[in-house]
Amino acid sequence: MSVVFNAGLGAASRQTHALVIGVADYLHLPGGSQYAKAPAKNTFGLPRLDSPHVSAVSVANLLRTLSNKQAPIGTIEVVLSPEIYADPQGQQCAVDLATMNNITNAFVAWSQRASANPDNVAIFFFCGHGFEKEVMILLPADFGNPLVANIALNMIDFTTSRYNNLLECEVKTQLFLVDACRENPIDLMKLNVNPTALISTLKSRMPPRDSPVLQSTNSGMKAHGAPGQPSYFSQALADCFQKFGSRGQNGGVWEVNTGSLSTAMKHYMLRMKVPGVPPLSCDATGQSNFDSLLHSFAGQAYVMSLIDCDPQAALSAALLSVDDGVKAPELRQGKPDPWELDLPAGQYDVSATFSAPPYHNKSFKQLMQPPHTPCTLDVQ
Amino acid sequence: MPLVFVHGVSVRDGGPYAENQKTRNGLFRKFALKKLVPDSTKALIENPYWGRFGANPAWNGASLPDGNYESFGSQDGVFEEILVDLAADIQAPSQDKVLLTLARLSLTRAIDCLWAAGAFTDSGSPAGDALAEQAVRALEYAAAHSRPKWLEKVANDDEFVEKLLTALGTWTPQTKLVESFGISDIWNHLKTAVTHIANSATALLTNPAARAIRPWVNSRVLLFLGDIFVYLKSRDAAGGGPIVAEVKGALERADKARKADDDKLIVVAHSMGGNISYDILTSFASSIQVDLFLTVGSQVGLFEELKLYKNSNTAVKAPAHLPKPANIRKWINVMDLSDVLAYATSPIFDSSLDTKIDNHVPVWSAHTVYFYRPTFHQRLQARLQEL
Repeated sequence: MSVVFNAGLGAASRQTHALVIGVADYLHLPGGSQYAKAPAKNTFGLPRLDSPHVSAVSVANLLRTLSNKQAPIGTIEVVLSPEIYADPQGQQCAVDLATMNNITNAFVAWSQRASANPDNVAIFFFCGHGFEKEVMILLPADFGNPLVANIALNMIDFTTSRYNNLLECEVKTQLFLVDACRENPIDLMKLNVNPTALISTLKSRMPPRDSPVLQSTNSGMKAHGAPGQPSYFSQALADCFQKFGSRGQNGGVWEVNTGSLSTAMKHYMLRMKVPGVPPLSCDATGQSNFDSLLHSFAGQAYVMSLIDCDPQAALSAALLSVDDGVKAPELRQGKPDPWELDLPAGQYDVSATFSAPPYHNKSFKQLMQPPHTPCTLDVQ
Repeated sequence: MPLVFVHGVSVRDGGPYAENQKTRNGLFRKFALKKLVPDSTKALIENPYWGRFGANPAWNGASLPDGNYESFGSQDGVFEEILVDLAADIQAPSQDKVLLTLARLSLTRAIDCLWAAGAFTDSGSPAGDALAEQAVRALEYAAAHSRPKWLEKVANDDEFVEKLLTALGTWTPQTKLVESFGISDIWNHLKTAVTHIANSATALLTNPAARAIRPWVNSRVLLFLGDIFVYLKSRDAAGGGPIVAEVKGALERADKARKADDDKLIVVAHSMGGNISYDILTSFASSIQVDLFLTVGSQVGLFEELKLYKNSNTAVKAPAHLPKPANIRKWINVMDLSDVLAYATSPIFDSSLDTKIDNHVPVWSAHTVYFYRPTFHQRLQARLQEL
């Protein structure tokens, strides 16, 4: 049991429970801490990683800052490899190693905690190696343990685990954040055993749910991070919770809910440009019949705006301007691509001016609302 | 140092053509050009694609004996060709032990076979650059460990590749700036190549007679003859026709890319590409000075015997020799003794140097995969030191 944060709320009171898993040290894979004496027979070409540990710690610490009057943050359980957690003040403590057994136990415990009140919010985060065949597969730290003859016993069937948890866990809001590759390598295609679900069920009916799954890449693609740094998905999560992910204001504070977070993550990751890495994306799926509040914050929310012209060919000749009437306007001189601009939420004068025909100058007022506001100027 | 690669017969766009080119370019950069230029990654490599103007059978090959060849220019049968070329003399106990058997005889032969298969494998991820990169490591590893201890313990080709790639460190990230939470592309690529090898080995193991002649041989012959006829016919058009224009254009671009401190031009020509290049360098672009003309598996000598070149002089016959063209400073002609399409040049041309490779594989085709075998590039590198 590695609950690193416990607000001490009563078990039945409405709250948010989080389970955060980060696997960097794959014990039996090349570079792993036990590889020299107990190497995996089949490594699938996977090495030890670095970023998932940093990512999981940063996400756990991000979740500590969630402000949700409806379901304040109650507990955060962290399972890591290597099994060291550092809180925001840098205080280190040992947590459970992210083995298949420990992840299974932590998952069930998290599910049961969340079940105590159907109006709780349950957040699951995983960062580490992954595959995708018929189901999404996540790999624990002891993947490839040579003492386990069936390699699939140490492969997590995330798809079935999530589905079963929707049936077994009473909580209506379950948010799954999965930061792992989704490739289907030849070795996996040849594997004739199935990965293992973390939880089983005999139930068959599911009430209305808000259960989005945000994944750090599209099917068949890789997820990435910089060694020693939080992954790009984790960075996006932090920025979307704290700046861009609001759906709007309620009582003077900006609210981030499951729907707006999903929208923000999709736009944010598309805008991330990492040299040497294919375009990033966030795949948002899952069953959502309603949106649930996750976080609220005071102060300034930001908007991912996209200033464009119709026709798009006009962009190359356009002087684009975005003016809030207070500060000096933001300007961009002719470029062929639409203008991606991060702005504080609010009202703006948006204009396109041309020094010569055939396009016409255009200007209008635009309310820039988070998480994303496109703004297309018709200059024909 | 600009390099022009002129491909041979039967090369058509599509399939793994682009990745083949990337792998081949990468191997040229990692081996041949590595010690000749300060930064081989920036060396210009021209790949004129004349196959687009080559033979295009009007009945799609219906005249072939069983008429069943619908995908000309595709890579059908290429893995069988690779096995016939590089592993026909071994007796693998089963289809999943071809590379292992080969490796126990010679680790470099197994590497050649695996990498050649890798060059023609489509695993869904681009691996051309990584293949070239890892080829260098693989040959260095084989030189240092001709018979590694783990080789005795592995049971099949899959395990062999697993151990080899682990030993090569292919699991380490290509860059320290980014790590991906999944497999390395080169790993998955070569593991996929092993599957192709096993599938193709089935046919060869179950039918030893198949080693002598396989269905793809017929279609290759058709395109081989077809490309020759088309070239000879089109050459008489104004300016030499589209094939001449394509290759000549690449030669001219490479010629212009020479720099004061990097002034050498290399032309590598495979098979029919050698004949075309020789024809162009002697008749259509005789002002271009070539520092090394490397013909591989080519028929330049045969074409001259038949007096098929534009400037062929029918009066020159045995026992006389033709002079090496004045605009070619050095000419090396590489021929695999197993390649029935490779002909010598030294009995006909003065100062052309025939270099023989002998795989002791007495079969029809050692013709397709020269440029995807790391050992070929290693040998080429040694030759180019003499430039």
